[in-house]
Order: sequence, then structure tokens, then C-alpha cells
Amino acid sequence: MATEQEYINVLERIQGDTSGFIAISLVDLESGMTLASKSVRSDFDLPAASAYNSELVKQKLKIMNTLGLTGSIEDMLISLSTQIHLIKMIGSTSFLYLAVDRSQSNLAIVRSAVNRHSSDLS
Amino acid sequence: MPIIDEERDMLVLRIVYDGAPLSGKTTTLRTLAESLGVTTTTPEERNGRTLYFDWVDYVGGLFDGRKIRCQIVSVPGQSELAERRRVIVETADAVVLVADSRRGRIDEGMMALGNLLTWCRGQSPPIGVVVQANKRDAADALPVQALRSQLGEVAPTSAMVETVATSGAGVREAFVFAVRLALDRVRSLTERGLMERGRPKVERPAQLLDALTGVSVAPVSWDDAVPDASDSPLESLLQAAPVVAEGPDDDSWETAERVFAPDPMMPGGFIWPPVDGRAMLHEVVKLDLVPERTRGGDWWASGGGWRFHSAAEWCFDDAREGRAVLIDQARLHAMHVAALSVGRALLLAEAGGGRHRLWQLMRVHASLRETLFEALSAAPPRDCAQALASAASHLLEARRVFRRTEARVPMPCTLWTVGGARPVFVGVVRIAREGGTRDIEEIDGEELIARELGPVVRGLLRDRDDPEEVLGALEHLGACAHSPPLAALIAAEG
Repeated sequence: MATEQEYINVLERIQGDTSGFIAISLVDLESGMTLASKSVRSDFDLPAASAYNSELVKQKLKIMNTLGLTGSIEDMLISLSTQIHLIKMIGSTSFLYLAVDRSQSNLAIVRSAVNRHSSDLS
Repeated sequence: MPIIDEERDMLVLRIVYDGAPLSGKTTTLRTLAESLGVTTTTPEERNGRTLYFDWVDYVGGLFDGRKIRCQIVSVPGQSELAERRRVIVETADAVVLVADSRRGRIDEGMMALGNLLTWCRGQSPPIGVVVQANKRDAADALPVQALRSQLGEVAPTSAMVETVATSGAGVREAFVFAVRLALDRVRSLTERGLMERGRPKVERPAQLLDALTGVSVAPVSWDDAVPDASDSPLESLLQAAPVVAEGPDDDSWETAERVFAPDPMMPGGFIWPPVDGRAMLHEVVKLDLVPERTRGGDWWASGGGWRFHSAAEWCFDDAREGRAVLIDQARLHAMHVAALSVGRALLLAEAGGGRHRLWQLMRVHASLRETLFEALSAAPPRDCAQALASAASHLLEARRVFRRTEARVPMPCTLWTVGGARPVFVGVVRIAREGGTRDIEEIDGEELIARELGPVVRGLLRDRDDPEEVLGALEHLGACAHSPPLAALIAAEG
């Protein structure tokens, strides 16, 4: 029985290992609702971003199904001109969504920080 | 009833928190609201008790591109306010049943659950129920296995989440899972063309308060909420038209079959019944059951009070073929539901290489064999005799019930397959594919009793140090007069 606070503790550990951290959330894939979240930018609408990213993951799963691809999604990386967004699947029913400032970080750091702590969420 | 608010481009759902008095409904709602960053509205309280409801409005998540607006409402728990509770529960799209899980309080929670299920199961599609086992931090909280066992008796198709409402542990998880169940219901209503569009009739707490003002406070019963057989969850399965992929046109068909892992995110149209099936999957996914292949080619897994089974021949080259069989089997399960133990689901899961496998998921119920052997162990001769007489009548009643099933759903009548508590079939259903039949068991009466109980009586007479007394008790038992087959068996053994 993980508490929301325990989830937030894990999110904070990822935050601590990620320079340029903007926001992070643990999201239920089916509903797009956040199970826990943490943000340092009040202008970043994390619940909305989490919800729309759940649609993104579902679309990707549909694409895989249509192509007859077996296996599962491990992570999805989206590089914007100013930000990096990482989606890391946590089991088959939820995912971690992390946004960082691209000028202060890089893909390797982001991935490493998430992989180091994400198993604590399963 | 869920509604699509087109003007605001939102799906509006109502999640209701129900439960016995003082189980923690209001605390749960307040903790949840705090966690979601929204406020709770409570129209009126007396001595800290809710008189009407607690209300939380939350917009979050997305469904088919629309924002989800949840009206989260708790009911008043006091028995004299049962009518207000009923009015609120009848508007739910999913219900979180908050149950105090401490010894001495859990029975009250299970009673509230049983009452609630009468209503929820009577709706079409049924309303999903999440049991929030609350107060898990209490020193006298019931162990989780005991809780699951009780839940299996009362609500074999409901999911359970452990919570501590005061600290928030598990509260958000229970809420999000209730939203998932509500979305299953929305999906089912949409597929049947029954989804409402427009503005919700109740949008603010004041409007709900208006609706409740003047509602009587007389006791209420949902006993008449009987499901309409013609409007069953099977209809939504029939009408569901999920996108299915054709398998690859190469050698990968020959690759080894993927081991099945329960997945609550299975697409709609691949689970029967749609809402309860997903709730059951939610329960078993935590058990990490890994099916193994038997020598006969069947797949099998069992543990934590659940069992998975898939017959060797239930692997299909593509999803369309598998789905046709799923619908056929779901129809047969629905037809014979009275003869089958409760807590069953059918799942069509990907098996790799484009193939799909049909699985049965079922709650494990004690068989007649288990209850009989428990009754016989170290019991006095008279109790042994009574247990045997009771088992004999149970077997004969089960045979009568099972005979009503058609040739395509044979239900062998044995000590292993008849339920210990009720004369229902607790075994794996081995249904022939459409057009085929399986051997039907013909034996009954003396022959059946001799086959099933003969070895038990012989073992009893051999292993006990008072065989004469046991036999005497059997011969003198009045029940034998009502069970000629048992009397015949005793005469033969004597």
C-alpha cells in the first residue's frame, strides 16, 4: 500500500537528480489522472500535460497494435526546442511524466535519473 | 448517468462514496480534495456527522480527447437518512464503498456492500464498485487475506484498495480506479448509443441539496432492483467493435506463445463482463500469477483465491476469430449463470505473433470435498453420518441443477466440482467451440452417490477406530430415509 506521499518522495528523488527540473507526475494511463505530482513552475499546467500525454501513450499503443508489433513501450522521449519531456512506463497501467529545461540538462541525465528511481514506483 | 457536456467539451461523471456510518467517507473526501488541490463543500453537519452529502468538483484526466469532470459525492451514513443515500447512489457512475476494516466493524461494511450491490448489479451496464478497506493502520485491523476472503463471499467481482483515510494512503488510488470503472461504463454506453449529451442536471452542490430537500427519511431497500436479462453486459460485448490488428504474414506464427500476464488495461470488447471483469483483473494483477502449461497443453495458474485457465485449443490465429469465440462463450456463461459459481470473467489476451488466447478467470470457492472432509475430521460418529447425508443431498441437488445446462456446457457432478456452500459448479468450464459437443454425464441417484461417496465411506470405516459406531450412526440416521441412494450405499458398505 504505497501512499501518495511515498510516490511524491520518489518524484522528489528524481527531481534532486535532475538539473533544470520543471515538473513530474505519476499518471494513470486509462484516465489520464495524476496519482502524484510535483512542479516548480506555477505556469506549467501539469494535470493537463499529464492527461494529454496519456492520450499520446494510448495512441502509440494503438500504432504498435496496428503494426502487429509485439513487446511493450519502455519510454518515450520528446525533445522540444526549450524542454525535454520523458515518459517512462510504470507497469502497464501508469507512467511517469517528466519535463525539464533543455538548456540545463541533457537526455542522458534525464534518462539516468528516471531509471535510477522509477523501480521504486512499481 | 454520465453525460457529455458538449458546450464545455467535458465528460461529466459522478463518483459516489458510500459506506456504513463512521467508516470514514467524509475524511476520505476531505483528504482526497486536499490531494487534488480542490475544496470540499458540506451543506450541513450535526455533531460532525454528514446530514446531506459532501461534494468535491474536480476536473482532471482525459477521455477520448475530452476533459473529465468528476462530481465526487459522499452519502450520509446514518440509517435514518437512508433515503437520501439511495437518491445519491442511484446517480453514481462508479461507487467507492468505504468499509471500516477493523474486527467487529467489517461485518457492517460487508452488509452495506451487499445492499449496495443489489442496486449496482441491477443496472445496465452494471455500476462498478471499488471497496476501500479503510483504517488499515488500526491495531485490530483484519489481515488482508481475511478481508479478501470476506470480499470474495460478498462481492466476488469487486476490487479492493487498502487505505488510511487520515493519512491519505491509498485514497487517490481508490479514486482513480473508480474513475477507470466509470469510464468502462461510459465506453459501454457509447457503444450502445446510449450516451447522453447536454448539460448535467446537477452541476453545483446547491442543486443536489435542492433535489434532496423533502426526500423522506424512511428506510429503503433495493431488493427489487433485479437486472433485466435482455439488457445484460453481453450486449455491450456484442456491440463493441474494437480495432483489431491482423497478424503478420510470416513465420512468426510459429514462435513460442507469450506467457499471459493479467492486464487491467486490456481493451474494451476483450473482457466479459466489461466492468466487473476489469475489477476482477485489478484484484489478480497484484498476485503476480504466472500460468504454466500442463501436459495436456492447457494453461493454468492459481493463487490468492483466484484461478486462471485456458484450454489448449483456445488459441486463435487472429483477434477476430478469438472475439467470436469470446462472445459465444460469454453468451453461454450468461445463460447458465445460475448454475455457475460467482466471480467469473472471460478474457481474450494477446499471445504473441498476432495470436490471441481465451482465458477463464474465476474466484476459487470451497468444493464439497473440502467442506465434507473438514466435517469428517475427528468428528463424532453421528456428526460424520450427518455430514455424509448432507453431502449426498447436496450432490443430488447439484445434479438436478447441472442437468439443465445444455450439451455444450457439461458440468460434471463430483465432490471436486460442486460448491461446498451452494450446489453450483465451482470447476473450470470446458465448453466446446460452437458446433461441437462434449460428453454429457448421465449418471445420477445411487450410481452417482456410490461413485462420489463410496470411497469416502470406505476410507472412513477403514481409518477410524470406531467403524462400527460410524456405520451404526449411518444406518440409524433419519436422513437416510430421505436419501435412498445413500441408504443403498450404506447397505452395500455394511
